[in-house]
Amino acid sequence: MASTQSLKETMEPVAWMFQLITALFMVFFLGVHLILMHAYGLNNILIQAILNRLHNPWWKAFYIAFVISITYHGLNGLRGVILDLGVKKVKALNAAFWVVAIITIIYGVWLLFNI
Amino acid sequence: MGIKEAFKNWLSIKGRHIHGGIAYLFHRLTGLIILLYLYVHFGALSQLLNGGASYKNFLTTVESPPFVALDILLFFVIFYHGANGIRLVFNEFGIGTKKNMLFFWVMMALGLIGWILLTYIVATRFIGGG
Repeated sequence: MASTQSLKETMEPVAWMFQLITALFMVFFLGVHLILMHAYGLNNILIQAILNRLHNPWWKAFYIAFVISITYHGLNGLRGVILDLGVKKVKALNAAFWVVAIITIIYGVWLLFNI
Repeated sequence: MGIKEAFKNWLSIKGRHIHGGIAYLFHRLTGLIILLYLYVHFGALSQLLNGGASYKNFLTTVESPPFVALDILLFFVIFYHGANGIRLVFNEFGIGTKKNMLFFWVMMALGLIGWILLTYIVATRFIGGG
C-alpha cells in the first residue's frame, strides 16, 4: 500500500491550509514559550512572575493567540488522523472537532483571565 | 478497508521511506502526545486559580529530577514534531522535495541540537531549584 507523507492527503484544502498556518504560528509561540518558561530557571515560573506577565495586555494577547493556534493545530491534526483511518461519519467527526475545540479555547482563555 | 485494517496500515513501516511514511508515522504519534500534554498542561495551569496555593506544591514537583526527566522527554517529542513539521511546510511550497531525505536529516540534526541545548539549560537551572 502506498505510504502517505502528510495529512494533506486526507484533509480538506482549507483545513490543511490552516494546519500549515497554525504550524508556523506554533514554531513562534511554542519557541517563545519554551524559552520563557524553561530557559530562565524557576524565577520565571514563580506565581508572581506569571501574574505579572498575564497582566500585560501584549502577553495576554500572545497567550490567547497561542491557545487558539495550538488547539486548532492539535485537534485538527487528531481529526486528520481519524479521517486517515477511514472513518465514514465525517459530519459527526467534524461537529465533535468544533465542539471540543471551542470548549478548549473558551477554557484556555478563561484561565488566562482568571489566574 | 475497515478501521482495524486501516489502523494496522497506519502503524506499519514495511516498505516505507524514512522521510515519508516512517517520519509521518512518528509525526502523528508525537502530535498525539503533544495534544494529550496540552490538556495535562491546562490541568497544571488550573492550579494557579484561587491564589495559586496548590501551585507552590506543583513547583516543588517541577524541580524534582523525575519530573525534569519527563520534561526533557517531552522536549524531544516537541523538537521532533517541530523539525519534521517545518520540513513538511517547506515541502508544501516545493522547497526541499528533490532532496527530501537530506532535508529530513538536516532538520533532524537541527532539532537534536535544539533539544540538547534546551536539555542542558533545563537540567542545570531546574534540578535542585538552581
